[in-house]
Amino acid sequence: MPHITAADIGSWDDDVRARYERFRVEHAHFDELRAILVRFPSGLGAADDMYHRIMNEGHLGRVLREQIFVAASSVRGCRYAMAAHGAWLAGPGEIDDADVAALRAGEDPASASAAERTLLDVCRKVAAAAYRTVTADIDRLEEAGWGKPEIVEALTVVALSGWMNGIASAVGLDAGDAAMAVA
Amino acid sequence: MALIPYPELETIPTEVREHIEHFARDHGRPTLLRWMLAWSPPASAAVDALYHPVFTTGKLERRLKELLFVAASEQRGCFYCMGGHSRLLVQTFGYDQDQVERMRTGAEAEGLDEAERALVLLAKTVADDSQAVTVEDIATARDHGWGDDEIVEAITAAAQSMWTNTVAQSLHLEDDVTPENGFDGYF
Repeated sequence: MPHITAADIGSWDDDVRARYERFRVEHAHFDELRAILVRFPSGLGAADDMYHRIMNEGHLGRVLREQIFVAASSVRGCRYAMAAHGAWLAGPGEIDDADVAALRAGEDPASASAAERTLLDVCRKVAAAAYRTVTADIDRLEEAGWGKPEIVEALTVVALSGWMNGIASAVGLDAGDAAMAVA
Repeated sequence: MALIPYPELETIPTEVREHIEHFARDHGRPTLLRWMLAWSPPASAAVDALYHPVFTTGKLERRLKELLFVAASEQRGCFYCMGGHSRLLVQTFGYDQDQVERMRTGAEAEGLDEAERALVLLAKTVADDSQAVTVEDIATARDHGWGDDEIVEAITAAAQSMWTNTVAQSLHLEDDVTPENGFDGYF
């Protein structure tokens, strides 16, 4: 049971309810977290707008963004986000269950390219302690073929995961063992 | 020096460049975070979409949310975010530098009542290790008179630091203080 529960659904106004349902249909996850954020409707709206832009738009593919999200959440131990994004990867993302399990365990998926492995590695480092990033990390990414827009995009996925991990963990959301076992 | 060079202003899409220039006019300093994020216009739009709704609306005063963000950024050791928003607390909300330096640690301080201090301490726990937040921490905030709506807002303001600190720290964004605005550096 979370430390803070969702607002009573009967108290939601129509705009909030519509926003909640729209995201639910589009992304099919984070229902519990977003139901708690209904307590702060502007925060919910900001979260949805930010999420849509960072996860859907730009140069990196959606599957890679989702992989970065799971990898960063794994570093922070946020089972709730690992379960939600892992389920997306195994469903719409069409990633093997074994690859999802590897990401959740802090490892690279077997299907990842060398460039993707480098990107995931640096993203894990940033998620663990962003201040430890050094020029050599950026050099590694560029040598692997990533341009500056892609690097910045990847870092914003790590940043977004930090935002969502922070809220999910602070309000006491967790994924059950069953959710973690099923990709 | 930042680990990635800032994009040339003339290469930035007009709408994004106007956001950067608008911020510089309003705040008397460039926004190196937004300038760096201009490498990715969706990311730039995302941070704009995030900041104002979280900080300027809701039940908690903006002054308190800015303080929570500063306290969280201090906990994470992000001088860029802590410095910029500490200066905002002085310039916009009338605190002096000593007050801000004390309040953001969670210590008792003039200008910070016990209920607000409880939220500062909660924000610092969220920023330090959100997995460590317990039901007792939430109960302490409630005991100080905060409702769950306000507590969620406070947690969201602290989580905001996890967004901006990640970008600022990972890319080593520099001090964007300018001498003209009366500060000789971050504090």
